[in-house]
Amino acid sequence: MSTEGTAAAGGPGGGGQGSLRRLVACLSVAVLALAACSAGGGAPGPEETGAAGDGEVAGGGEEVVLRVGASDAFTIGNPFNQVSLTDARMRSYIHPFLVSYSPEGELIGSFAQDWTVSDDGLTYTFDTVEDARWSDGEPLTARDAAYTIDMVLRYRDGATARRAGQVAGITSVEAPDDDTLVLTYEEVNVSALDLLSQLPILAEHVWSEIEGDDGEGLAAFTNTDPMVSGGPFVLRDFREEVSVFEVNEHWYGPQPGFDVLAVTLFSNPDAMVGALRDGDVDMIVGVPPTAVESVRALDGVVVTEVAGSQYQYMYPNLDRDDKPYLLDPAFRRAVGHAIDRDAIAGNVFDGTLAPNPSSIGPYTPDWHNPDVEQPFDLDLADQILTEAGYTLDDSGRRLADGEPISFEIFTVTTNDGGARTYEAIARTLAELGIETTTRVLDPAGANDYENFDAGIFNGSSTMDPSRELRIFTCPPDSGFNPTSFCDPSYDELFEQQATELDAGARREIVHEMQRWLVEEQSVLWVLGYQNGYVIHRAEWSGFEGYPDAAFSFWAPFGLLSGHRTG
Amino acid sequence: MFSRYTLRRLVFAATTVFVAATLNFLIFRALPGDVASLYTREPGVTQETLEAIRRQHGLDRPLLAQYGSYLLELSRGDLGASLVTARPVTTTLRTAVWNSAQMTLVGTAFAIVLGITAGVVAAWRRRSRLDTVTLGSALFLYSLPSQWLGLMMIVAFGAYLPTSGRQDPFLLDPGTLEHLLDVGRHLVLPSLTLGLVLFGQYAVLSRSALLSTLGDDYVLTAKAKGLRERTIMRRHVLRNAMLPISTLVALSLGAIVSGSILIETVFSWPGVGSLIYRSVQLRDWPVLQGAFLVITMSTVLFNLIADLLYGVLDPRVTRGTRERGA
Repeated sequence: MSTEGTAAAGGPGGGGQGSLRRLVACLSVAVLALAACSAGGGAPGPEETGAAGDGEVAGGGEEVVLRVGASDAFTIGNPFNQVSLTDARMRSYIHPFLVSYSPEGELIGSFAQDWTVSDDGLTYTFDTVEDARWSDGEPLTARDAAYTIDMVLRYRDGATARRAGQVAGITSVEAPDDDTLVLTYEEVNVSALDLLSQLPILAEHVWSEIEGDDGEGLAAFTNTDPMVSGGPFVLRDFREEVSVFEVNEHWYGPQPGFDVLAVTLFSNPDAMVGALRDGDVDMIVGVPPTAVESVRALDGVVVTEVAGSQYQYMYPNLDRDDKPYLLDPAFRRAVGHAIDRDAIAGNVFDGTLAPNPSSIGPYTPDWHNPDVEQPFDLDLADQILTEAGYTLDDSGRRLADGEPISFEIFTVTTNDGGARTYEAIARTLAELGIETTTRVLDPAGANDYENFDAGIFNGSSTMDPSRELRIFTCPPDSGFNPTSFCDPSYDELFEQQATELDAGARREIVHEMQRWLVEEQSVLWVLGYQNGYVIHRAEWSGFEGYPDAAFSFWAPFGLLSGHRTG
Repeated sequence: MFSRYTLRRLVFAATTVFVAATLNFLIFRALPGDVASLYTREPGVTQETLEAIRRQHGLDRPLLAQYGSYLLELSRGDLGASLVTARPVTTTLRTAVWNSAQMTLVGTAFAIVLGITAGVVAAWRRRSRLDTVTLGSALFLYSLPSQWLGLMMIVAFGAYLPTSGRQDPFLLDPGTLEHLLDVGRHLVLPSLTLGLVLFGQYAVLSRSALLSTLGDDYVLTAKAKGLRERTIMRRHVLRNAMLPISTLVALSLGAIVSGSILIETVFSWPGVGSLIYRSVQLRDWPVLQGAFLVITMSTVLFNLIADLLYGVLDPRVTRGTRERGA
């Protein structure tokens, strides 16, 4: 018997070395095959993008491309199903709106060039842009607007529920001709135009074909293949990680300063900043507050700070009968005075948060009440608690009905700085003898968490105060009411401001409501407003950012004014 | 036609897939919240709005009815439509699996080749400085968090290689070679990160397998007969040490479709890992169900292949089964 035979028989199996060679050979072939097949269309390869960031020739002409890095991807052009922030932003660029906001925060006409309001405040008559067209060349008229509003109303309990709030109270919608739209409301609503600024107008010749029975077809419609746009851009190429939009040649509004808008997903903010540094993108949005200073230090990058609408807040659950101190305004006021907003703004948010206790932000100076305050004062907080009967025991714990006060404050994974904000608040509350615990949830879990004590979240305020003030009214009209707060006298004030046609009188009511919410009831502990940042390469200029950023769903025209200078 | 051993493995695999499909259906529904929960804080959204959204997606039906629909659709090969994008899950997954397979296969191949080579060399030169360095490097790389290594790759090579995405969206009508090169450039950093993390696993296992085999009697016999060490390694030791290595390779191939959540997120690589990460946040149950089913089936398939391969490489396994059967 040969040595090899002995060895082979002495040990388990045989041909292992041949197995290794065959395995390596197979793997090598597989790798090459996969890479080759990916070119052949096994996975979506690049379709005609027609442009390059550095202005390479495309289709016979030069195109200027604005490449934007974002923290989530464009997924769907259907306003009834949109989830991502980029979807919300792109909504403003692919759909026409009756009205919009200027980069200075003023309500301006868009598809509606002008409008009148009847003396009783119930009827709005809009004069729409004449001879406007959709991206496919079909006429864009007031009849499309009428169709959209009527369709949303028809299916408001089903497929169009998410947009129903924007047409709430409309009893009649008519388009007597191609350039006139008439809306009649059930009662006066001074926020009607603000609500309409968020309602995209849809192409009747497209959407009426896919409605189906009871609007069932609306949910499955992606509006990406192909996309019929009425806004400044139309989709050219769509992939999960990057979407390319080109200027809609039929767009009726101000022409963009560039030809192509490409939005690229960066799951990792460090990679996004790196791409900006290396010139792989021209603008980035969604930078974490702690990264702003490092971005500012990059060569060739411009960072412009603007007033922001995003705010950080903590809120109690006023439905907790087993924790009656949370229901006590005095206790809540004391907690409000125990929050060191300046320290949180400096230490947690690196100075990118502007401390402010009101839920109507300074970026809307017409509505914000600058006199509302809740200063950090532990002595005052201690005094309030003691006078309200929440005394300290021998070991320094704060008591309510003889029991130590302890409650849980949840934070959310997607809220940058949420966990550290909790730590800062927990420290100062501990000095008052109040014990807190925490748990971390993702957004869906947080929204579903009913038996919470308190939570730290971030939100986005709005240009019109009604939307923010409504959430403290009694359900069901409040919509989402995070605190379950309900006071009929507050509801009365809300109704007054919602129907007050005189702007000055309305402002007084809104100011009073803010004072009452913060200084008397302390229903919501707003920590402050995060600055907005317009961040782009120095080769670009002209972006207007108000609020938040140039790439914004509030004031989309701020992006259009950007242009390449270098 | 099939041996008893093979039949048992096939039945076990089919049962595993069915159980996994059921668990996939249940496990995501155990998470707090659903797709409607994401819209809770939108201005104007009421409880009625959320209920309408749930009705729209069929989430208001009894759990058993949803499960029945799910199984019926599965039997037709239909994984449903995404609750978020409204696109067929099959289409979304096909793209994501394809993208993951490219990155993972390249990275795994790199790890296998480099790891086995390093393990063989370390075992061959056991107790030498080379052995110490190799083993130390393998353990160090194996212990590194993959997302940290990925970030370091971005910092070090970000100026020279693409750090996100799978291809340049502005490449105009590329030819096959141009496209290959473009994808290849984007592949380098994520697959290298994966390869380095996996390298340690293969190096350590290969070294251990070879050292174990080197101590067997037939190796001593071969040495006594005067065979050169290189011949002993090549003709005898490697053959027998390949058993556990082949099994590990087969199991690793099962992980190709699952991608790597951390690495794909760091590099924004549009694979199954990043798809799962986004879908968990968005409570996109059909996508999650489909993705985990695909991963399960892939793992089961390659486990089955590994089991069958083991039976081929080591006839004692199947012989023992036949003897017990008799």
